[in-house]
Amino acid sequence: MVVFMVVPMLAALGISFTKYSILEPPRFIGLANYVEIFRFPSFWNSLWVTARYVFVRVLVIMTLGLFVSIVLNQKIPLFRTFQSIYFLPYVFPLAVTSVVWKVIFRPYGLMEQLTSLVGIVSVPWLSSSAYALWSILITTIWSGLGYYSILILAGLQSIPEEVVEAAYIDGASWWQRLYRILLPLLKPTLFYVTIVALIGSIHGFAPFLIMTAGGPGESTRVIGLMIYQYGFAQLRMGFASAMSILLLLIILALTLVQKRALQGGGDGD
Amino acid sequence: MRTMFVTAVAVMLLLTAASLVAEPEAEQQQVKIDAWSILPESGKKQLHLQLSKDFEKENPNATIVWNFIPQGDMEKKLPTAIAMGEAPDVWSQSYRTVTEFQNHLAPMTDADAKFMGYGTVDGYRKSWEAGTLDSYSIGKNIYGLPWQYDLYGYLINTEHFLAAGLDPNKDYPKYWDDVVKLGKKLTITEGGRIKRQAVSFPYANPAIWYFMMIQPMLMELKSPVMNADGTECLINSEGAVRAVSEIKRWFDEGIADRNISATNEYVVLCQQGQVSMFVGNVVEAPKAYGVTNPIVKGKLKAIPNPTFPGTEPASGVGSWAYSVNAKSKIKPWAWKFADYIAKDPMLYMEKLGALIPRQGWSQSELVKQLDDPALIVQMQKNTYPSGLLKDFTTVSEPIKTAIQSILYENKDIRSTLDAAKKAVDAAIKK
Repeated sequence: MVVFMVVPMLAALGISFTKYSILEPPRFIGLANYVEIFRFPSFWNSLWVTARYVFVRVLVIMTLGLFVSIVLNQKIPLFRTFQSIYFLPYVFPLAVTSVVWKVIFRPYGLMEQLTSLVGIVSVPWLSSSAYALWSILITTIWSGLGYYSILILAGLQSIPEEVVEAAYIDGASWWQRLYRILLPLLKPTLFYVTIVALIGSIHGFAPFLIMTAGGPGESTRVIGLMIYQYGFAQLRMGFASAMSILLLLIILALTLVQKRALQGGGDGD
Repeated sequence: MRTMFVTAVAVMLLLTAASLVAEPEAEQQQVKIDAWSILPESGKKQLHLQLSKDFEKENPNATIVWNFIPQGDMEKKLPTAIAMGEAPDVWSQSYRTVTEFQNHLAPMTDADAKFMGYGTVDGYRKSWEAGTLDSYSIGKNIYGLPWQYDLYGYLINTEHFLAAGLDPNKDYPKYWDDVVKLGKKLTITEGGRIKRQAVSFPYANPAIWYFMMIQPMLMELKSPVMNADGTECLINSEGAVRAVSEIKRWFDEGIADRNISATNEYVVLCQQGQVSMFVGNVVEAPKAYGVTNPIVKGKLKAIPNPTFPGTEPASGVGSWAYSVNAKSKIKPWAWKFADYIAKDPMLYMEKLGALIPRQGWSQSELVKQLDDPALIVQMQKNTYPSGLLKDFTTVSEPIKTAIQSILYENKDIRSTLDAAKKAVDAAIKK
C-alpha cells in the first residue's frame, strides 16, 4: 500500500513543484505549474469535457444498471446466461473494445447499418465534435454496464425476500415497492457503485486516446488524456503531475461529498 | 654508464613493443553492444539482424544484443532508462528529438571516426550524400547515423487515373489546384456520399503527419512554422492561412471525407487502394506496396509534390538513426556498429527498395532499381527535414489541434491559427 500508493502520490506531489522532463534532473519552480494550469484554457476545456462525460456516463450506468439488475433479479429463464452476456463486454480490455467500436462507427459500418433502419444515415460519429463524445460514451457504457449491473444485482439479492413479499401482500404496487422498499434498502450499494463508476469514469483515457486522441480539436480531450499527453508525449512531468494532483483533489472532494450524502441518507432507513 | 644507457634503450623498446602488442589486445577485448530498436517485424528488422550477425563475424570479439521495442513504448522506456542510467549503447533516434536528447547523445569524435577507418569526423561526413547527416547534427557534431530515410512526395494510384480516363504519366497534379480538379474526377460517390476519396487526411496520426501534409506548401510559400531562432511561432502567417485553406478545400469540394479519414488509418486506406493521391515515401512505397504488400490494390507512381503557381516543389524527408549513448563505455564500437548497419545502400535497395543516401549512391548501379531515378535524384537534392523544429512536440501539438479544428470543426482559419501561435509561443516561453 505504502510502496504502490502513498509513495507514487507523494512523488507526484513533489514533482508537481518542479520542471522535470525525465531526461534532465528536476528543477524546483514552486507553484509555477499550478499557476500555469489555472491560466491554461485547454485545462478548463478538458475539465468541462470530463465533467460532461462523467455526469452522463454515471447517470446512464446507474439508471440502466438498476433496470438491468431488477430484470435479472426476476428469476427469469436463462437468468445465468443473461447475466454472463451482460458481463461479457467488461471482460474485454477497454483498449480492445475501443478499437472494435472505432470500426463499428466507420462510415458504412455496423452502427450505420443499425441507424439506417430508422432512417438515420451518415452520422459523423467520430469526426464531429457534436457526436464524438457520445460515441465514446456509448462505447464505455457498453463496456462497463454489465459490471455495475452485477454489483447492483448483488445488492438486490441481499434484500430479504420477505420484506418485498410483505409489501406485495399489503397491496403495494411495483413502483411503490421499487421506491419505498428496494431503493432505500439499496442505498449503500448504489452509493458504492456511484463512487466506483465516478472514479472509473474520471480516470478513463484509453478509449479517448484510441478512438479520437482527444479530437476533433479538443472536443474529447478529457483530463486523463491531457495528463498522459503532457507527461509522456511532451515529457512535461512537472506540469502533468500538477494536473494529476488537482485531479486527485477533485476525486477526493467528490468522494467526500458522496460520503456525506451517504451518512446523511442513513443506511437505507 | 654505457650499460645503463643500453638497458634504458632496451626497456624503452620493450615497453613500446608491449604497447604495440597491447593495442590489438584491447581491440580484441570482448565487447557487448546493447542496441534498442523500434523496428517492428519487417524486412528491415531481418536485415538489421543479418547485418549484426555479419558484424559479429567480421569482429569476432563483438556481440550485439538487440532489444526491439515498439515505437510508442520506446518513447516511454528510453527516457526512463536514461534517467536510471540503464540506457543501451545504441538506440533508435528520431531526428525530431535530437535537441531534446542532446545531453545524452555522444557526438562522434575524430577518435571514433578513426576507429571506423574514416580518419576524422569531417572525413566521415563525406561518406554520406551532402546534407543527409544535417538532421542529426548540431553545430559540427554528428549525433546519429540514419538507417531509415523517407523521401516524401506524392504517390498516385495509376489504376484510378486510368479508370477515370486520365494518363498517369501526363495528367498527374502539377499544382495544388490540380489536386482538386483531378480529385473531382477520381472521387467515387454513391448516393451523394463519398465512397472512395481522391485524397485523404491523416486525422488520427501523430503530429508529424500533419507537418508532412502542410509543410511542403509552407516551404513553397517560404512561410516557416517558426522564426529562425525558434523563439516565435509563425503559423498564423499569410502562407500558412493559404496552405491550410488549400487542404480544407479537399473537404469542402468533396474530394475527401471527414468521416472516412477520421475513422480509418491513413496508410491503410492508401494501401488498400481507397485513396487516389497521397503523401508517402516515394522511393520505398512503389516497390514495397507493389511487391511485398499483397493487400495493396493498384499500382503507384511517384510524383513531385504539387506546387502553388510560381513556386518550386519542396520535398520533405523523415528518418531514423542509430545514436550512441553519451555514457556508453564502448563508444567507438557503438559508432562502428551504427555505421555498419547503414554502410551498404545497395543491400537496402535490393532487399527492401529503400534508399540510404551514402555518398555516390546516385551514380551507382543502385539507381537502376528505382522506378523514376531522375525524379528521386532531383527530389533528394532539394529536401528539408519534415518537422525539424526545436521542441517539436511542444510546437506541433497546438498546431495539430488547430488544423484539426479547422478541417473537422469548421473553425475560422485565421483566428484558429492566431490562437495556435499564441499557444505555441506561450509553451516555448515556459
